[in-house]
Amino acid sequence: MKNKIFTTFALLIITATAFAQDYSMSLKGITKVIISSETTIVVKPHDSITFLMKASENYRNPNAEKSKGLKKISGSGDDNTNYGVEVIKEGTLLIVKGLRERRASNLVIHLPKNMNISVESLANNEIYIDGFSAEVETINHHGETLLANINGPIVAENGNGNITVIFSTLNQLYPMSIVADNGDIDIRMPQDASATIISKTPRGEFYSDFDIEVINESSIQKNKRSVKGKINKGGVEISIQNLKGNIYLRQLK
Amino acid sequence: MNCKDIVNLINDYKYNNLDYTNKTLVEEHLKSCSSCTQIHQEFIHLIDTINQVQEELPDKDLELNFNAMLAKEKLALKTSKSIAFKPKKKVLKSILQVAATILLMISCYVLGSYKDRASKAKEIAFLKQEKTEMQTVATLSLIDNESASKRLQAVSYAKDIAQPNNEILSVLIAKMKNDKHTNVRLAATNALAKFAKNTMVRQALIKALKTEENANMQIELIQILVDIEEKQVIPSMEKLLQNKETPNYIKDHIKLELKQII
Amino acid sequence: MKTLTDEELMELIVGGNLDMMRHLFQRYHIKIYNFCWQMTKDKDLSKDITQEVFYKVIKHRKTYRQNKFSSWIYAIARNLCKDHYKILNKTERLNDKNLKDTYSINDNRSEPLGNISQLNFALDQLSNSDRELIVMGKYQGLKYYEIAKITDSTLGAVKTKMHRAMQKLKDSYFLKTKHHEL
Repeated sequence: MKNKIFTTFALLIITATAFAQDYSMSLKGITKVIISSETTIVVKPHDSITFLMKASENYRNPNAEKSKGLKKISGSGDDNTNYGVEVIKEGTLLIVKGLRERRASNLVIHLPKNMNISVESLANNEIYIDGFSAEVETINHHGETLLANINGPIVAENGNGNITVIFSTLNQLYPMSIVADNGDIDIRMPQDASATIISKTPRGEFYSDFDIEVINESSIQKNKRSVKGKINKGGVEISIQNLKGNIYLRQLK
Repeated sequence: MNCKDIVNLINDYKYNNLDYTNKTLVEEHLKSCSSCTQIHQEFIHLIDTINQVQEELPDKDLELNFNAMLAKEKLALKTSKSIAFKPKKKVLKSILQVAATILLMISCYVLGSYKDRASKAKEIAFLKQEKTEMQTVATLSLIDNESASKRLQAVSYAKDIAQPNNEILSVLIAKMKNDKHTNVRLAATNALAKFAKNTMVRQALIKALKTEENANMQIELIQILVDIEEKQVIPSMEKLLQNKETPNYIKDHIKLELKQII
Repeated sequence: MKTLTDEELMELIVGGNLDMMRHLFQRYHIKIYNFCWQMTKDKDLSKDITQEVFYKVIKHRKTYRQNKFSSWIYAIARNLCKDHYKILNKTERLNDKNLKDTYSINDNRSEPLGNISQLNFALDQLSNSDRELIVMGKYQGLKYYEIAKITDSTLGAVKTKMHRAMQKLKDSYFLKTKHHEL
């Protein structure tokens, strides 16, 4: 009897450690990581060219005991990571799908700083991306988005909820665009950043502490709620459009 | 069988390329011959090292240049006059550089006045055509790129073309209707606003409003159509007003705009 | 579209559907680039040659004959690399800058890099034709019959040459090691 208990105990430990391993995958040949999930998504940079999910940040499976030895059958995809996440390589893309069972928790992912990222949060959750210097694309259908310490280019869309973008420098290579339906758009960038801003606030207001040199252009809509202007002699084009909420464009201090 | 023969077979042995007889021969020989065993070990080590070599990834501009070249070749195929695109020594670095050179050339021609007016005008017209061609190529090569930033760039190239051809207008219309990112759809719609005098564009804008479900897109389309005083927009606006699912703030906006056009 | 074979895609391209070229580009550009990289050890040049290879595929699509596409595109890449050697002889190939390029250590990789730089060194000791065989056969995993097609040779000849090339590579690889140990 004693023996039996010991064996079960040992087995338990083995399963627990097997599950508690970090999940990592080489990003050799990968140029872009596309993430979608029904949970809050957190993306952080690290110094290795890998896709990493840490057990300490991601592991949670209250049903591990009950489902031991069984394979999860799901219509929405295959959990090939043991983290309730499906990871697929497709050419130069890495596709990451958070599966449904993760609904109540966060998905924390580590990627190299210069990896192009596309993130979509499907419902009622947040997106946090901090410290990346490559292309960042986000779509958040319902919830807050925070893009901090980034250089762009960015293409961001928020359905309902505020979006905050903090640029550490402003990449001048590609045009950028930030669009929201409902909620505020709050952008901070360095005082000396050069940009050409096109803002549209059909039902909201546009506030800024930058000196904006307004350009009168015939193609700009007659509507008074559209403004096109240069900051620090003009630069990369940033389109900001907010249907109902306000736009705040602040100097980073 | 001597050691020399065995060494010749070892390579294939490693890759399992030997038939049964030869395989047995090699295995038997390896058991008894230490020098061949060493050679065998060395090969295994060498192959392992080769397998450790990682693939290098080319810079992204390889793909960009390829796309530009493909677009150019497609254009050439369409107009069925072969445009000399073959790069001389170095393969073209970037469309942008070429465009910049052309712009520089234009300004040189404008500044320098050693040519008579007529031929100068002709040259400039030619250069303008070249520039349009470059922008067309750049647009087409980036418009379906995986990166949303590059698709935005493509739209912005297209917007700068003074007289875009139908292919450009069609891809803009397609982008207005369909893109993963609303940002790109809005940008395409905005670019189209510039060409709203074109009947095809005008019809596409009117049609788009009828089926559009995204609020930002709806407002943008209404704004553009009201600005060009397109009366055909009125029924769509009224329909949106009657729709129960339309949010109140959009209805307010539509009412405001309706006053302007009626 | 992605399930079509290379040859089926090529047929569409010959028929005038140039867009299908994108799929072939996706399938081959990294392989071709790496082939050029191993042969020239010059990143810019490899990029230029790769670009030129795809240009030639489009330009000469009408001359493509039902062969295996991979053999055809490798043959084009090989010829372009060869053209390059005619201009540049081997001593120039290994000037200081390229040496640094070749043997620079990438911090993100965990392999015993000493071996790989030794391997690079050994590979550079070989003749162009030997190196080409090894890069195609061992680095890129092409089959002997494919290499025979690409190099316009016979299966038997490729086998024999490959054995000799591998022998040479091994010898110069291990000679280097022994020097280190002394």
